[in-house]
Amino acid sequence: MTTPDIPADGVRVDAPANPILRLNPITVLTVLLAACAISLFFGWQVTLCLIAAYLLTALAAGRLGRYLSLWLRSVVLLSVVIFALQALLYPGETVLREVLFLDITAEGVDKGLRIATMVMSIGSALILGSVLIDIRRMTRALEQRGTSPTASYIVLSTLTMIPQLKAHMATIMDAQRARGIETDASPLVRAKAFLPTLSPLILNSIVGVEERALTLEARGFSSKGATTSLVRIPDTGIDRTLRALTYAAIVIALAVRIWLWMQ
Amino acid sequence: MPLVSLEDVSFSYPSGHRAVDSVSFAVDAGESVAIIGQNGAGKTTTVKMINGLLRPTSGTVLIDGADTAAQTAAQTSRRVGYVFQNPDDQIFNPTVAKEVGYGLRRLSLPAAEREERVTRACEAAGLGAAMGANPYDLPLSIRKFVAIASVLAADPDVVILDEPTAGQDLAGLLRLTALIDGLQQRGKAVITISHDMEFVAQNFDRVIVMADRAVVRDARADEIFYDTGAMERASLRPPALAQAGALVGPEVGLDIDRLNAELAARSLTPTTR
Amino acid sequence: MDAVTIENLTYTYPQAPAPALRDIDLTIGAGELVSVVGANGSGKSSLCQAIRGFIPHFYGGELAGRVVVDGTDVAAQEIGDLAGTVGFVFQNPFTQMSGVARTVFGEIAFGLENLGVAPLEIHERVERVLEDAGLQELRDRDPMQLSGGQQQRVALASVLVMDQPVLVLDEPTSQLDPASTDGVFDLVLAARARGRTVVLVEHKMEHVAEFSDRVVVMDGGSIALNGTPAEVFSDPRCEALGTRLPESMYLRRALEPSGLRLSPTPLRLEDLLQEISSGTGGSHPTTAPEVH
Repeated sequence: MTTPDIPADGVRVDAPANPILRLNPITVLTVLLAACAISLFFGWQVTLCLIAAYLLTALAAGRLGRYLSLWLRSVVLLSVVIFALQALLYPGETVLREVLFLDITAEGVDKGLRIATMVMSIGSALILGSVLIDIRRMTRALEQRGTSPTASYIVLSTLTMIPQLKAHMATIMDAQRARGIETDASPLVRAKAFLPTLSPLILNSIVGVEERALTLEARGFSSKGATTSLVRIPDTGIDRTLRALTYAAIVIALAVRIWLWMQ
Repeated sequence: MPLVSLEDVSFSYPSGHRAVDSVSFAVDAGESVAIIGQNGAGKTTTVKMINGLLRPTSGTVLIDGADTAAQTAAQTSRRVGYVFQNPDDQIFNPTVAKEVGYGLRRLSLPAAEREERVTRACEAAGLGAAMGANPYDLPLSIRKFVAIASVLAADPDVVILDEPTAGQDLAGLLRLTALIDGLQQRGKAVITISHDMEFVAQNFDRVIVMADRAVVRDARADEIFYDTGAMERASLRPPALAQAGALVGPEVGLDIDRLNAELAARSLTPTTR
Repeated sequence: MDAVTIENLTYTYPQAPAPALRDIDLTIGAGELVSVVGANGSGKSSLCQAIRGFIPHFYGGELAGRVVVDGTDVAAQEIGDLAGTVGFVFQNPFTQMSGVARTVFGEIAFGLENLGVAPLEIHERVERVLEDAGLQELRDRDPMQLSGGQQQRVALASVLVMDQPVLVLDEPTSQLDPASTDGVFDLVLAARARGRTVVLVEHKMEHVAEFSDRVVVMDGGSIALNGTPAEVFSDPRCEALGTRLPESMYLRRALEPSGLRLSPTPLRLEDLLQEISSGTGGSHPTTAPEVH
């Protein structure tokens, strides 16, 4: 039997090799939120630069593939559709082109560009956040900063529960089919099976909630006093510097925006 | 014609994992069969093929001559009722009566007959007084009987009970025995998966031992319990009566009178009575 | 000092028509294994919950009387602080998996993290429990992917690691097969051997008869019988109260016509078989030779 190496103080430091993934999730969150806000102050040019930065970041973190696959299918697609709809349908006066029976107006293009830019700003940052941040790491980091353990528990157990719910759903469907409730065949049939499938799932979950709450109690979850953890998410000098730079960037961006607005 | 017939039935999951390997047996109306074996032996998968939840990858499952592969599970369930181990996977109606009657809706019965069936099923399951109660206000062991009643109400020809004795007290065990008796008397076939050998000895005439995805032995209960090899493969100990009988010989079976006679004959200190 | 002292305990769940526990008086000595049996609904679970403080702290309701565990008045303590005094294992293996741990190791460590135990000590204690409970092979597995029997052993280990003086188990083996049941009992007995006091609700009378120091039979919320297994199971009231007897006793009764001289209340089937064997000049194959 091999006992794995235990660090000197018993606490494992959760630090992936990649420097970007190693960042404290709070730092990543802070930077992305700031980037979102800053891009909303300005126009599409800034957004474009930021998106280039996001792509480079994803590449550096080894997550470019995942990012592109999510990003293109959601945010980009949505932005293109919004832009097209606005350009074609927005009632404007300056007609640039005619397409079939619709007019592309300059006002429409302008509006479309603005909304699409907003969607791209927020969406691209969101997607980058989802591929860079591991939820488990983030809840731990937040807990280290002082958020309540209950909040962490809710997030983490929900994550675990989702695949369990899926599996449970399958069992429930079996049980209902076994008493004559059709679940295959037409959508209408499936709609009728909806209630007998979903209700036990919900009821079970509710019953399960009480049992789980008692289990948590049995494990001392609500005991007063400090908790310890076997895992620590590091918050390094790099993290603090990055966050400081981010706050500075927000201030500068705000200042620039106001100055521009006053011109 | 047997009510349930499995002919060289195998089942593999889409992942390739083989769960049941060439199983064949038949169950007649009025028979009671217990399927025993370790977890992973293939008992649950086999039984799910009997009630149509799973279709065999090879071989045929016939219910009263009808191929389960030609029907949906819901259709097969009209002939084969299955009481799941966890009643909470089924129950969602606000009262016991509604829950028990739920499976009857598709049978298009006149309201009076439906009510009568529900009442009869509830009473057989000992729920006569609880028909208006919310199932989730009742203890788990009683909810088990709600699930059983809901299968009884649909009056299938085959009833499958999956680990019915888990968590039951004496009253529950007695009620199960009465239920199984009643079903057999009405000509139903009763199949159970159980690891409670006392329960099996009390209520089931025939035992099928499964191990490693196949049938190890299929024989009368009073023979199986003396088959040490089969019982070992099932990782189960025989009921007390059979363990005592083993001290004498397999001819004792589950006959207590025979056992007493044999023991009296061999007694070193015979007492005069 | 007794591990558990219950005086005049009467408790009614909120909005319940009648009390779940009536006038309970019970003393459990340190290191005892007491089994609580009785018909479903007789108050066994409620008794367990009163010892742990879920009653009244979690459920509310009306409570009269006193429950003192390891010198602490349960009603006066916070529910969270009692976690270090009373361990609790439930019937359902799955809902006892916290859902926050990715490995069995983490699951077992969870309780100690909550209690604020130092990380190095956590490692030490978890390693010890993994070893003692035979869970080493499962240490890196996802708790949610284990079988019911495995999960129940992990749940038990996760409580045992917290080293409480009193351990309460509410039907821990109801959903388990015989092999897993034995596994759970091995752990419970090992805990008792290390000095823990154990309160166990069980339907498996053979195990109750073999391992309990005392048996408490509940009926309608009160304690109807309280004594050693031999005393309780040979009391004719026991069956009248809807409690099953161990199989050895039913068999013993059925063997009366054989005329063999057998002990009147065999608690263990093995012992009865041995007596039958000796009484008929045969040798019971599975019993090792006994040295008296």
